Amino acid sequence: MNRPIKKVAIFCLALFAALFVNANYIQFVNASSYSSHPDNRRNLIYAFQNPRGQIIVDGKPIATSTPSSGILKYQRQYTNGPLYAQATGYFSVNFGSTSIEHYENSLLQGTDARLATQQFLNTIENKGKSGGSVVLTLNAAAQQAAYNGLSKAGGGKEIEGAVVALDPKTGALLALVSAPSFDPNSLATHDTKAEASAANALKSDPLQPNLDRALSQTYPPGSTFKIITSAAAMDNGINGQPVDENTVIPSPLNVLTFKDTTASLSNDAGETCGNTTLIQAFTLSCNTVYGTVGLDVGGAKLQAEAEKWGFNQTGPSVPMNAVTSAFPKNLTFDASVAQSAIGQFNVRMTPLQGAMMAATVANGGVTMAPYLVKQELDTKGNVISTTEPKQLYNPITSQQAGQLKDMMVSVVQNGTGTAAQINGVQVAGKTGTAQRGTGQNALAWFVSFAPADNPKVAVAVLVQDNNPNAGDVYGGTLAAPIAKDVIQAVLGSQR
Amino acid sequence: MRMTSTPLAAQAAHPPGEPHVPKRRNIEALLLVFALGIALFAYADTGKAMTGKTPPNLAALGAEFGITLLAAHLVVRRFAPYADPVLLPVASMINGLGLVLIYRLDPYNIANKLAPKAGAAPNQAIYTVLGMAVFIVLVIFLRDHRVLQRYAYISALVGLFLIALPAVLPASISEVNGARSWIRLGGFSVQPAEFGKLLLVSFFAAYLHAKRDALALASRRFLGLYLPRGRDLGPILVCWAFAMLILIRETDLGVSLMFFGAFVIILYMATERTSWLLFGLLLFVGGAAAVANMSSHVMVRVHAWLHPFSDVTGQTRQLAQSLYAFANGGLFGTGLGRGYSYQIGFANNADFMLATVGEELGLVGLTALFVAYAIIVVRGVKTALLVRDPYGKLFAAGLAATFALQVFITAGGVTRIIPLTGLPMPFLAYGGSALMANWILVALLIRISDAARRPLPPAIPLSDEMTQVVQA
Repeated sequence: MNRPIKKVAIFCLALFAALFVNANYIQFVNASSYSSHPDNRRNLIYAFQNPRGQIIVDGKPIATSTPSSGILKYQRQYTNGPLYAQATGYFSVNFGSTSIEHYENSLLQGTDARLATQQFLNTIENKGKSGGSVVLTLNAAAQQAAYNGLSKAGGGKEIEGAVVALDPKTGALLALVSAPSFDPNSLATHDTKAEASAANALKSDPLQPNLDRALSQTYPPGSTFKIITSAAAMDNGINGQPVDENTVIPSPLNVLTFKDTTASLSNDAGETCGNTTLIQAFTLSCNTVYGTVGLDVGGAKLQAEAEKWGFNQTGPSVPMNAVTSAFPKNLTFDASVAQSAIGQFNVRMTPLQGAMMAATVANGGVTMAPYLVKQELDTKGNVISTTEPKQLYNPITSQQAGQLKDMMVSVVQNGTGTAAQINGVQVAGKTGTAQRGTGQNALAWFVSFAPADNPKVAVAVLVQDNNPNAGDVYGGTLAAPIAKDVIQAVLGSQR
Repeated sequence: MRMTSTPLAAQAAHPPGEPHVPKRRNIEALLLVFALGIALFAYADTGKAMTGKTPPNLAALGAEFGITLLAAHLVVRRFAPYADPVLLPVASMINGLGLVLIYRLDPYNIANKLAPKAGAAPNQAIYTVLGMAVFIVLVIFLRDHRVLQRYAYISALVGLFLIALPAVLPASISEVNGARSWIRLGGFSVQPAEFGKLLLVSFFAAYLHAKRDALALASRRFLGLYLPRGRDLGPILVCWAFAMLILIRETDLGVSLMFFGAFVIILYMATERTSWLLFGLLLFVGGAAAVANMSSHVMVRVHAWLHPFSDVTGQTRQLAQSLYAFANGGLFGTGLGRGYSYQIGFANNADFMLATVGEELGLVGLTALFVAYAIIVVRGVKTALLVRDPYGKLFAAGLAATFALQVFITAGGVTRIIPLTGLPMPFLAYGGSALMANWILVALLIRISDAARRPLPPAIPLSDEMTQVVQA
């Protein structure tokens, strides 16, 4: 009987051999594919295993990691969460991450290759791993002014909007606000139920608080686009004649009509502007004059000019990717050309693009690439990288920029943008009141920079008042005061 | 070593010429100290990883476990002195490791109401003492394993009854997680099949030993195989039908496979006819496939086996979680108390216990555990080879093979070699009945191995005188 018993013994050992071979397969050969499965919560647990680096504004942390009880060892906390929500984004247990939390994840998490040596030493010193930190370019005072301004605009109800402020000389973002905002802490909680209900509340909110209006939404720029139309006229001349700010544009009509369409173009109060200079038309934001200028320049050249300023180009990464601002291609109808020349029809831009437009004028015609990360720090707080300002576009000459600056100063001094005047500081700006569909309030824009002679800050403000009883909405009344506050905050903090 | 470790008196007891058989009890004692050390070290390590300090009851628990092991050892030393010295320490080590792992999973299981309020570990500690008490009682009172041969048919009846009982009880009492293999009464639950399998192995060994000639010899040769006669097919068909019934009524592929597998293996060992193996395999695979098509429970298990990530929040959740755990363990594991296998949820400390071993001790630890299980099997088989009586041979080999099958079915299920079947990991899993049954299995092997290695009583010396014709 021993022979079959031995055979059975061999069979049993073969079973064990199969277990052993298979264990090698699942624990070694196939391990990484199992480990990277999105359902595997271990990745998440490990992500919360060590303290995550800080996000810092003006020397103060606005996102920190604090020890937490439970499986997830550290809790992400945002100081002034709603104020900085668009910049920090959130780092959620179940809903991923956004903005800086997303784009700087490897550094904040401590997995960045540049931290490898330090992490190794930390392990040897038995200190445990930790993340590196990110210093933002934001100016706390400017951010607060922008946030407060949008919160208070139009009585603070049903307001959507965005403020982007940047340093025209470097492209560093000084304020980045989208309203309404949300509290990233509600999405960072480890309480799965609270987290889910916060996410649902955000999703079902008609005002979409987690939408980044500053970078990822485009709006008709309205009259702010006249900056580019003016530049196109200066670049190309009109009827073979060179154009500057004092060129007289004949425009006798109070309404522009076009062939083959009932569409027309008129001024806000139905007035005629008469034969005015370019600077005069710009100051009063005269639509009929700019419609005429657009027609004189022509759709193709207008498009080429807009594209030099960044329209129809891939939006910059700050590091969040801004969407593309659009100028309609291959315009054929006069009505479309004239409307595009005053920033209507299918022209759309992000608030970031608006700020870049003002910054370009402020910076002598050179657009600097906007950026949000000033420095990256290692786990001990030493600087490992500092962002170098980069030139992005150069659409106009410094001479043209000077003329456009004069025109924008005129707007604030004696035009539609007087609400942005600041005692002792020369502010340059351009209002925009962009019409939308019937039944919708106009969008209020203000793009500006200051001080005009040595610009420190360029600001774009967009306010969309959804209140049906808001009455007439103007860029000069609704958006300009916010821009003024932001400018004052920046200048005040630099004094 | 041999000479010094054997008392002089024992030596003198052997008549010259008889081969000297060492008892190896001191080796067993040494290995038991080792097993105790591993369990306590693992316990301290786990406590440190989970709470930051060594568990306060380390010394008390160590003493308790140590005394239990000492008692078992002394009983074996006294009542089964020739028994295999490795079986008890290896079983104790796995039992101890199981206790640590249950303790390790307790915080999660208590929080999620998967374990009693005070935790599953204290219960398992009681079961361990009870299991070893049963072991001790069996070693003391079962002086000869051949006694069991006499009760073969009663064993069969009781065994079948135990295995079949959950099937006839209402599902509210017998069903846990889809399989009806339990008896739950007032907070107390038993898996009767764990005991039933031992009784049936004993019966198979006795019955097949008795009928082996008929089953082995009366056959026709066909295509190189000995085909059994029609009427000899009776027993295997009965067993097969019973296995299928278990599968259908209890929807328990594990018990069914183990029951039928044990029968076929013992049948093969008794008859040495490969045809029985093939015949049995065909029957089972055919039957199981047919049942799988009818039973949604079995079908779900098979589907989860083929596509473990197809429904990670529903029906394949546990298997997927188990695979994540193994993958996370990698070569060396996360360290005890530092893994996340508890996310398997239900049965993370029973059927899926191996996932925690895989995650926290790694491939290295898992392999060591497999080796430990294999040692029990090999020692069982060695006992079968050495023991003199055919019933003992079949019984010991049957027990060893059943044990190997259970390890394979359970481990293979959670590591996706075969579909999940729902058997507890021997000695490792939380559960009193399984633990007790496994200690009975070890006690039986100890008893048979004692018989195997015990020297024969000295033959009655032949008289020097001439044979005389007895005249009446």
